[in-house]
Parts: sequence; C-alpha cells; structure tokens
Amino acid sequence: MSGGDSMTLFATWAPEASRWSLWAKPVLFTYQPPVVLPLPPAPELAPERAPSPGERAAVVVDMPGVQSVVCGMALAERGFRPVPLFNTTLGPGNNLHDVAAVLGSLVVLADQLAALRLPLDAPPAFLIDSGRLQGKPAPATYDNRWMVFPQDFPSARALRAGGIESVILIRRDDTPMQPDLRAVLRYWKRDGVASTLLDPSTGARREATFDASFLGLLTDHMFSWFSGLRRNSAGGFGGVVPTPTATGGGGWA
Amino acid sequence: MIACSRPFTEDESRAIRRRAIFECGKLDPQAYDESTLAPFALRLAPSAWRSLAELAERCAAELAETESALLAAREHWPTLGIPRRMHGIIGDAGASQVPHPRFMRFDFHPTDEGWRVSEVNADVPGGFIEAGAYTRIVASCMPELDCPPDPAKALAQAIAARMDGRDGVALVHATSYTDDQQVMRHIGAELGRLGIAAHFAAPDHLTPARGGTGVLATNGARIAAIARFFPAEWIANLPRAARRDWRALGARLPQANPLSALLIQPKRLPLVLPALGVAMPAWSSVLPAVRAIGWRRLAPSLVPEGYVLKPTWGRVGDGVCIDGVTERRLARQSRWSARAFPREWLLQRRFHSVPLGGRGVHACIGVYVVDGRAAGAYARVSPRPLIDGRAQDAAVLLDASLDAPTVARAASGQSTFTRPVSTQMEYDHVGR
Repeated sequence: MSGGDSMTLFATWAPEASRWSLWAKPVLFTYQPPVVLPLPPAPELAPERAPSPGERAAVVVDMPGVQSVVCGMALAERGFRPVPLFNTTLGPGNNLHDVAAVLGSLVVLADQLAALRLPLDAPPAFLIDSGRLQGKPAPATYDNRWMVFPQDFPSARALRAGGIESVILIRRDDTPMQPDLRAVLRYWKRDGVASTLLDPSTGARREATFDASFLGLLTDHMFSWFSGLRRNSAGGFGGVVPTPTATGGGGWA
Repeated sequence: MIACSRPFTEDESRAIRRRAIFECGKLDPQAYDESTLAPFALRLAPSAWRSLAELAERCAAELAETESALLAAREHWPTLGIPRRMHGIIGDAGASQVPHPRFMRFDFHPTDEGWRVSEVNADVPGGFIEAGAYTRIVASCMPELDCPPDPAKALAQAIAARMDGRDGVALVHATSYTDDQQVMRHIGAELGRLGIAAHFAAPDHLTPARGGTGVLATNGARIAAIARFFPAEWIANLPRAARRDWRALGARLPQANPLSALLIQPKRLPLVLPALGVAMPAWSSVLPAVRAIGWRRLAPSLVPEGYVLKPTWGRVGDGVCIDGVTERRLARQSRWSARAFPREWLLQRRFHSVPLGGRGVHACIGVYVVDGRAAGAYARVSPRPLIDGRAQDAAVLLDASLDAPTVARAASGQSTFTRPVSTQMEYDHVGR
C-alpha cells in the first residue's frame, strides 16, 4: 500500500471533518495491509437493545480485534461514527499479537463505511481490542501489547460539548474488564459521564460500577506494575521517556 | 529574538497534521482534547539560533569532560542516584575504546534573565520527528522562513560513520509504546536512506555474537551498532542475563548513546561538581542553581520560596512542582514523595519564563547536539510556565527579518543588552 492509499484508508475511517476523528489512532494504517480473511459476523442485537444515536451516548467497543471492527461497522449502520483506537505496533518478526487481521478488516470494510455517508456529527463508537493486553512475551518475541489511557479518549467535557451525556461499553460479561479501560471509565465518571455495560451476547445492560476504594485503586496500580507497563506520555519532547518510578518497562516483561 | 508565527489556517492545520502522520510518522497527534501540534510555529532570529547553538555546543563539551571525570570517580555515583546494578555496566562502557556516536538535547527557556536551561537530556532525547521532517512540512507553508538542521539526519550520519560492513543497527526501545517506536522508526528511516538496515528491538533481544557484533533474537539479524531509545537506568531492571549482554555489547558496539551517558543525565549533577573539581562555566551560566533536599524533608515548608521541586530522573516536566503553577493534587504527590525519598528529588532555583508576545505562550526550545555540533531544534509551547506532557510541539523556523531591528538598534546605540551574548535574548511581540 502506498502512502497515499494509507492516507485514503485513514481518511475513510477518520474523516477530518468529523470532530471525533482527532482521537483515531493512525499507527495501524501506516502498515501494509495483509491478505484478508473472511470476517466474523457482527453480534446480533435486537434493535431495541442495540445502542441508538438518539441516546446521546458514545460507545466503546471492547471486543477481540476483528470483532471490534465488525461491531463498529454494525454500529455505523445504525448511525454511529466508528473511531479506531488500535494503538499497536509491529516489530521485525515474532510479534506477540498478530494485528494483520484487524488491519485487513479495516481495509475490507472501508468501502462499505464510505458508502454510508455518515453525518459529521454522528456520535462516536470507539473501537479497541479486548485482547490488547493478553499474552506473555516469550524470549525473542516482539511485545506489541498495548494499553488505553485517558488521554486516548475525549474528556468528559469534550464528550458533553459534542452532545454526549453517557457512555455505553460493549463487551462480553464473561471476561474481566482490563484495569486500563476501567481507569478511563473512572475518569469519565469522576467528571460526570456515567457508563453502562452492554453484553452483546445477551443484550443485557447494567450500570458500570467501580471499586473506588484504596484497595481497588491499589489493585489496578499493582496490575500495571506486574505487567511491566508504565504510564504513557502525551508528548514527544523527551516525553517518550518514562519516569523510573513507574518501574518495569513496556516491551519486555 | 523569538516570536510566534502567524497561526496556521484551518486547511494548513489539517494538511500539516495529515502529512505529519503519513510523511513523518508522527503517530501521537492527539492527547486528551488537544492536538500535540501547536497551531503556529516559532520564529527565531538566525543570530539567536547561532547563539543557542554555540552555547549548546559549549555545554556539550563541558558535559563530555564531566562524564570522563565521573567515570574515574565512582564515589560520586551514589550521590547522582546511579542504580547500583548499573555501576559495572557503565564502568565497562566507559573503559571501552569504541567510538560512540553522541547526541543530547538542551532545553532552553526564554526568561527574564535571558536563556535558561531546565535540563539536558543526555541519554535518550526524543523529538526527532518534530525537529526535522515536521519542521520542513511547516516551513513549506511559510517559504520566507528557513529550517534549522535536521538532528535525525545528523544522528544517522554519526551512526553510519562508526559502522563497518553490512551489518545493521538495532533500534532499541520499549516495544509496547507507539510513541517510543515512532522515534525509532524515524531514525531507522534516516539510516535506510544511507543504505543501512535498521531493526526494531527490545533491550533483551540483543546478544553478543562472534566477530565483535551482536545478533537479534527476533529475526537473527547481525548488528553492528545500537541506537537506543530506552532509558539507561531501566537497563538496571533487566534480567541478569540481559544485563550481562549489555555489559558485553557496550565494550564492542558503537551505541548512541553509550550507557555512560547516564552519568550526566541526573539533575543532581551540579551537586557533585564542586567535589569533582570540574569547571563548567557555560553550563553553570544557564542552569539554575540546585540544592539537595537533605534534612529539609522534615521542614514544615519543603520548597523554599524561589525554588522548584524536581525529580532527579524526571523528564517532560513529570513531577515538577512549581508554586502557583502545578496542580495542587500533583504538587501534593510530589512533595510527599520528596519527603519520603529525598535523594530522588532536588530543589532548583526557579526562573521566570517570559511568555511570547501575541499568543502569551511559554516556550522551551530544545537544541540538539550530535557529536559536539549543534544539529537542530524544535519547541514545546504551553499556556502556563511549565512545559510538561500537555505542552504542544512547535516547529522552530529561522526568520532573518527578526535580526533586522536588532541591527538597526545597535547602529543607533539603543541596544539594552547587558548580559553576555550567549545568554541574551529579546522577545518580539509581532506575529508574522
């Protein structure tokens, strides 16, 4: 894929005129697209249970790679603007996560998405990979796990400015929510934007609750500690260098 | 003289962002609700650039001498906070005869006393995309302005000059982080332009191989040099076998930077200079005075008036506590940590950043020095006098017209400069 093709693909998924496109992560779009495999079906939700743009809610799709993209496409057909937040990298070989299928699904569905001609003010559906932190790097593997951080998403204030009053998190209830996403939801809740969990397998919705106790926060912190991951930095002015107090180091657990 | 450029038009902003992503590999264009790219550039008078470049080169030369002196004076390493596990590795690296490429970045702030440096990043400075390729994109919108040199090209050439044969370069970084990899991608692309293969690697992927080279565990590539974007103090956290490998590699492969760079990275460096007996006149003229916390940890007021609290290893303004500027919650955390771990913190005399006219933004200009020569610059700007993770990146462009008024004033005897030339500056309030 040429640079121009990458740019076109990115522009399809993150059109510059849409206010939510600013948060789309470009990294995946800079890689060569792979051979595309058949896509899995989108989760089937009864229309009355599926999120609707009229709810004035943003959606976060936390499902396994390709399923997240497919679900995002289904939401696009309902009037949401899918915003890919896949912030993973590729190494020279032996990558811990194979991201080819995710990129392939973005390529395959691009024309379909473009044809929808979504309104620029469509509410966002942020797409992330629920498997982003899975796996443990063996020796000689390239650790391309990744995390989400509050700065990867619009703040509660920005959401409200865009007419969004709540968040619907689509994820299966049978797997525990990763602490990094919990931190994002907690951040939103602190600033007045509540979240609802929607299990696509059952259509059941329930309010997202968090353990805001010291023990809960400590548990999340310890998770980051032991998984060898550290706080992201927002800038490039040496900002890529972490503080040693965060310990460990991404990329080599 | 330094000033903000005219703001980019909306179309320019979009095009610059798009090109920054796909032409330069700038993969973190957004953080929180803000673009990481400033909607304007900074204009710097060529004379000011020459002054900064000369000053940075002098500081770099002094730091190189200091590093050599510190290699022979291990008794100071605990004061600097060098991790014990790194002592042997650094000692071996310093003793080797390998000609290492060196690069560092000095962060200059315009203050009411002239230019002041908040820190040098002598180990793993970033910002190469912004200082080179991104700056050229911005300059294409303002053809009347010139670009400073590109530090990524200079670094790639410095690495290439140390290489012999066809083996590649390992781009060592924390692989899980896109914003780390983007820097290595950029350096790798510049090496590629010189015909040198570059390979992404985590620090534990490299092992010594026969023939004085290294080999990468992921793809078996033979490695003849290392470009490291992984903080040296983190090497101490690697498993024992990986640390042993780094010890061996340090003695045989050129590294940008060698691990001995860690000796001049800590902000506590000025604390050991008197005992070390090294004079650093240029560095001392721009770096605000530093004090250890010591027993002050028990004082009711930890940070005396006129001082700033900083972490020894902090970067990007992380943990910096400036009275009236730092958010209260964060300041409380920093103070608590400093009382608990005083050797990991220090007090630095506060300087007063002068906001640039028109936009009222505070700026920090990072000046790169590669192998002793000034090699480029870029800026970070912030609405408050603290350049931290929320500051925006801005291209620094050279504007010859900013020198004209100075010349005219000098001719008419109106110059008010009284400080040494190297730390002088003047602020322009006219956007262009």
